[in-house]
Formats: sequence, C-alpha cells, structure tokens
Amino acid sequence: MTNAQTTDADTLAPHTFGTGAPLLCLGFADPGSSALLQQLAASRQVFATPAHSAAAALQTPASGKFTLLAKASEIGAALTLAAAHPDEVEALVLLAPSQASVEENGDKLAEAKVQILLLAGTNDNETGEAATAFKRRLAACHLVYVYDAGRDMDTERPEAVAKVTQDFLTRRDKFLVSNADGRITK
Amino acid sequence: MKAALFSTCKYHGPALDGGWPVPGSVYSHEAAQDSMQISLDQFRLADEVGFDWVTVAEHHFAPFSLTPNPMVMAGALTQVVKRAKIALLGADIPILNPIRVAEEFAMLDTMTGGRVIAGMLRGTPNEYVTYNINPAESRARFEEALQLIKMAWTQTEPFGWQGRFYEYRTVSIWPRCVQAPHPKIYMSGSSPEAGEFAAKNRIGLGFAVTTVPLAAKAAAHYREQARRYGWEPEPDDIIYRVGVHVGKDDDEALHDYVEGTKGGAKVGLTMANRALESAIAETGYYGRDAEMQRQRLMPRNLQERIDHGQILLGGPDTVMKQIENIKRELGAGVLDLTVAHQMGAKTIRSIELIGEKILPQIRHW
Repeated sequence: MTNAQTTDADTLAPHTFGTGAPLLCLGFADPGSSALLQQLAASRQVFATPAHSAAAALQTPASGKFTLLAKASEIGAALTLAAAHPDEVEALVLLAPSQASVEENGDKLAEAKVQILLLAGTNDNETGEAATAFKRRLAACHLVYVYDAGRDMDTERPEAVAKVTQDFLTRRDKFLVSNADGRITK
Repeated sequence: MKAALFSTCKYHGPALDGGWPVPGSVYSHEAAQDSMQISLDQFRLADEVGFDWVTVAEHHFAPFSLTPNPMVMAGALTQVVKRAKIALLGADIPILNPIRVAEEFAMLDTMTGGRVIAGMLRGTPNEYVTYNINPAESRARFEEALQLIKMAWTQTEPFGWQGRFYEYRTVSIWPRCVQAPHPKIYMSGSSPEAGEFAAKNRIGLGFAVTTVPLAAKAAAHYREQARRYGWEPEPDDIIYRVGVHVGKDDDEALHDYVEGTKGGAKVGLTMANRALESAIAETGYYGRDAEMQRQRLMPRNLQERIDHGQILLGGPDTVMKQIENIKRELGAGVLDLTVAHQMGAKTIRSIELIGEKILPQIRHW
C-alpha cells in the first residue's frame, strides 16, 4: 500500500489522514468529508480511495499489516485483496452487503479466513437476505445491524458505525464484550 | 368476533389503596396468593366456556395488578389454559430488555405450541418511573425495541445490534417461536402516532382505557394510514378492551356490580398520582395529541362509563346491544373483556353467562 499524500488533482491517489495502524478504506466517493472516516482517523491512519480508484489501490503492493474497510460495491475488491494478501490483511469491515455481492463473491466468501465485521442497515431493503447469506458462508464473520440506517449508514449514523468498528478493529473477536464504555481495564 | 378474558390479577386483600405507588405496609401474602389463584381459576373457566383468548398485562407498584411480569403469569397459564390463546397485552417494551422480551415470548410460544399473542406496549405513563426510563424516549425506544425483538425472532444467524438505545454484540435466542415468522403483534393505539406506526409496520392495534368515540376516531386514522401503505386492516387487527359484568338481568347486574366494586380504587394508575402524571406530560410523553390522551385517562362515574362504552353492564340482551354498538362504531374484531375480578361466585357466574349467552352469538359476526 502506497503512502501517497492527498492531492485533489490526482483522483487515483488515496486520501491519507489520521495516525495509528493503517486502515485501507474502499468505496468512499469523498473520503475527505466522510464523518465516519474522520472518526476512525482518531486512532487509525486512513488510506481512502473512491470507488473508481479501488482497482488502482489493489495494484499497489501492501507493505506491512493493515485492515480493510469496504463499502457496498467494493466488498468484492476487499475480499480479493484479503485473499491475495493473507499475511498482510488483518481484518475486514464490510458495509451494506447486497445479494449481488453475495452472488459475485461466492468463492471468495468460502476462502476468506480473516476475521470480518459485517454491518447491515436495518432500513436497507437490499441487505436483509444478503447479510444472512454472508454470515452463513463466512465462518469468521460477525454480523451487526446498524439500527435506523440504510445503505449509506456511514453518512446516516457515522457515530454508530465508528463505535462498533473501532472496537472490532482494536480487539477483534473480543469485541463481543463491548468496550465502548471502557469496561475492559486490563 | 373474538372474545378475550382479561384480568390484571387484582390484589384482593387489605391495602392502603389510592395514590401511586401504593405502600405495602398492610400487605397480606395470603390474600395475594388467593388473588392469584382466583385469577388462574377464572382463566381456566374462560378457556372451558369458549373464550378465544385469555389476557394478562404488565403493571407495577399497586394492588391493581399482581403481574408486574405478565410473562410469569402466562407461564403458569400454559399449564392451565389448554385451548385458548394466551395474550400478553402487554409487555411494556420501552422499559424492558428487548432481548429478554423476545426470549420470553418465544418460550411461551413453545410451551403453548404456538398460542401466544404478542402485545408490545409503551405502558401507562407511571411505568416509566418504575425502572427509571426517560418518558421522553418512550416512543423511540418502543420503535427500536420492537424492531430488535422481531429481528431476534426471525434472524437464525447470530447477530449484533448497534442501536440508538440498545446495543448488543451477539444475539441468538433459544427457544425460537413456533408461529412463523412470529406471533401476531399488537400495540396500543390511542395516539395518532401509534396508529401511523402500526399501519406502516402492519401491526394490530389495541385500545384500552379509552371510550368508544375516541377509539373509533383512532381506528379510522389507523385504517386511513394503512390504506396509504397499501393494505386494509382486518377486524382481528383491532382489539377493544372493556370492563364487563353480566347478570341474569340488568337490575341484578347493576346491583351486584355496584356492591362488589364499592371499595375499589376510583382512578387509574396514572391519574392516581397527579404530580407524577403532570411531570411525565411535561417530557412530551403524550405526543402531538396530548390533551386527548390525557382526557381519556380521566376518571368517570359508572353511568358515564356505560355511556362511553367503557363497561358492558347488564343482562345478556343488554350486553349484546352494547357489543353491537362497539362493533358498529369501531369495527373491532376482538373484545378484551375485563371482568370484575373480586366478586367471587358472581364473577364466576358472569363468565359463565358470557360463555353461554354471548360468545355463541358474536362468534359468527
């Protein structure tokens, strides 16, 4: 993964901001104004690419370990990247799966070994069956519904998505015991 | 038309009645045990004489009801009521743990082989003090809790929930409901907001502590909203809860009822503590039609209650006419009949008369 600096002139280059462990974010049309990414950047170094530059991001070899956050149509790209870089991709966060993303990524779902957080909006009519299908096929997947949000949950309820995502990225499977209130003290 | 027998499992013993909450200083556990047994016996009888449902409900901190957790009473009823459906009208879901509610309903549905009716209510305003829940959040909590409960019932994969009021990292309830996809759901529907939410979500509507004219207005709003969402409520989608006492004739029924209810509380749980009610109103609890909502809670004398359709009182023929009026004005398909619980043999006779003279007629409406 390249460490390119943000330049408005170069739309293929990832926007980079925040400090901490690297988090590659796919499918954000305007990463710089994403409330979700800004909140995640409090504890992560965010590399964000809009949807049309995801392919470019995939061509850049990763250096070191990183986590992936992918939205809707970029879920397939994230699964491909995780499969291609099993030693580098530590965890996946997938937002708003659709039935199409299940059908297009059947093989990748079966092969995925990395821990996954799958977020589905309760107002998202496309995601109902798809979220369940994802969960069934992905052994290491945690499905979490984001209440009162649709496919654009990152803009509708960024604080809710950030809260669960931060906890998962920090503590992986242990996020089942929520630490949103700081109850983990050791 | 269906009929349910509703009992709050009223405490029938010494109490410092009036006000809310009611002190327990003169409480008699023997009287409480007897009261619960009387309720169980009345529910058993209702099942035997042909009532379609038996109904329990949640109320707190007063002798008006000994079922702060109606799920416990319903659990006992699964062993007593062999045919009728068991309706919980309901669980006050904004003040409860929604996952616990989903689990308990699923238990009851399993124990009855699919005979549970799931009432999901906001509860009376005073209930918000019981577990210190903000009344201003009542409606939003209700809507989220209901959606979460339905998800817990229907999602077979473990899931988490990142809500506005509720947050769970993994949920996968056992046992699961017998009825597919889940038991029939009702909510209370006196406010316009409730009718709109019920219509949008295709939920049945129940009316209690109201009058026939007010309920008819609210039911019309519900139907109008349902048409907006492309469906037409069936009669069974509307429940009307009403007090009842039937005697062999009008004179006997009136005399027995007046004598038998002399010592009871004259105001409901909410209006029993006016300061508390007023404070809850100030939070915006009642919604955009607050005056009407408060109006329906005001105490009325017996004649006013009869005239407004809050009690069915008389011999079988008179009560049939009163029921016809409810059917005509409201289009309700389910009558939730609240018996005068504490009148011993006269209550038993009233239930038997309803079974003999009323139910066979209204069943075919």
